[in-house]
Amino acid sequence: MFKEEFYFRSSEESTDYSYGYNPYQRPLDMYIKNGVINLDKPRGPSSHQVTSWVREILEIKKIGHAGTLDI
Amino acid sequence: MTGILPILLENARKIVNLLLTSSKEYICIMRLHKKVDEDKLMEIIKEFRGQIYQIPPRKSAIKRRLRVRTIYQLNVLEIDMPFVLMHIECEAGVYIRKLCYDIGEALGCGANMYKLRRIRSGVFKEDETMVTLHDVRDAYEIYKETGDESMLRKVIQPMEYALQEFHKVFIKDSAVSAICHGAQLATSGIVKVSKGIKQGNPVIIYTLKGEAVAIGEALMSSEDMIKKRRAICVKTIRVLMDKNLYPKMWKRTH
Repeated sequence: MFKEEFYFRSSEESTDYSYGYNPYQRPLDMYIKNGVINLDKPRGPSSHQVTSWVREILEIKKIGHAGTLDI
Repeated sequence: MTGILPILLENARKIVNLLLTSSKEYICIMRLHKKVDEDKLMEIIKEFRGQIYQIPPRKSAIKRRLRVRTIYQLNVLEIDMPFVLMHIECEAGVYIRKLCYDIGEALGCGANMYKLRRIRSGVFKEDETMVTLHDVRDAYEIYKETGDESMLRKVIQPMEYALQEFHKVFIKDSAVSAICHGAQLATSGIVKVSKGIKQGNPVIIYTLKGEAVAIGEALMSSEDMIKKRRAICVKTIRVLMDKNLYPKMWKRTH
């Protein structure tokens, strides 16, 4: 579905691995803080409540969700 | 209501507005308030495919005025009067509860949404990345008890996973820091771009390691981004990367 084609402007450019990370290889703390969860929301609690539980479980400060399932 | 609820942790919250524009898919059970002829039901349902008009429900946070939304697919999977099982694929901002109500009005018998499950939101779908609250808790407990990160890394995806469906612009290492400081992207910083970008499209600016640097707005087409010698080609809308991750490499002008 997301197999993409590209136009190249410069084909010889490379990247320096002494800074930055492949997204899947970020140190754990950074991985979590730049992370998303594909959550299967259970029946009953609100989207807001479920999101807040994830925040408590992972012991992080800030969290959000993309699109309520409540209305 | 159950199903796919994308959760955004800490810095990843910055992509929420972009994700809210993604298309959605639902499985829904509608309850008709009276039994109706199945042929009539199918006739009426046909009229709700394509462009529809909806007034957002009272409970919603947005302004309640008539909006045009697109229903890409609306299929009846099973009928067990008065219940109708449906599969719906739609643009962002369609209220399924309202859709059921409106179908009921059109049928003349009344109807309401009985059950709803979201099966897709943008790239998030019912695949191996989908997890329950229990999975999240187990993965974190195992990490805390044993230091093993592997479960937690399966339960959480990098925010780049959520951005897959948007057009991409890959840039040189030397251009990263400037973008992180809010600069606009010049064509000279580009390495490669997705085909099919049109002026005004949202794009994601990436490093060559595949890290999302910023959300941007294309100021020209893919072709022009490659052809034009010196021009600003992407306006930076929202910086996603920590500005200290890449070294400053832009030229100082005195």
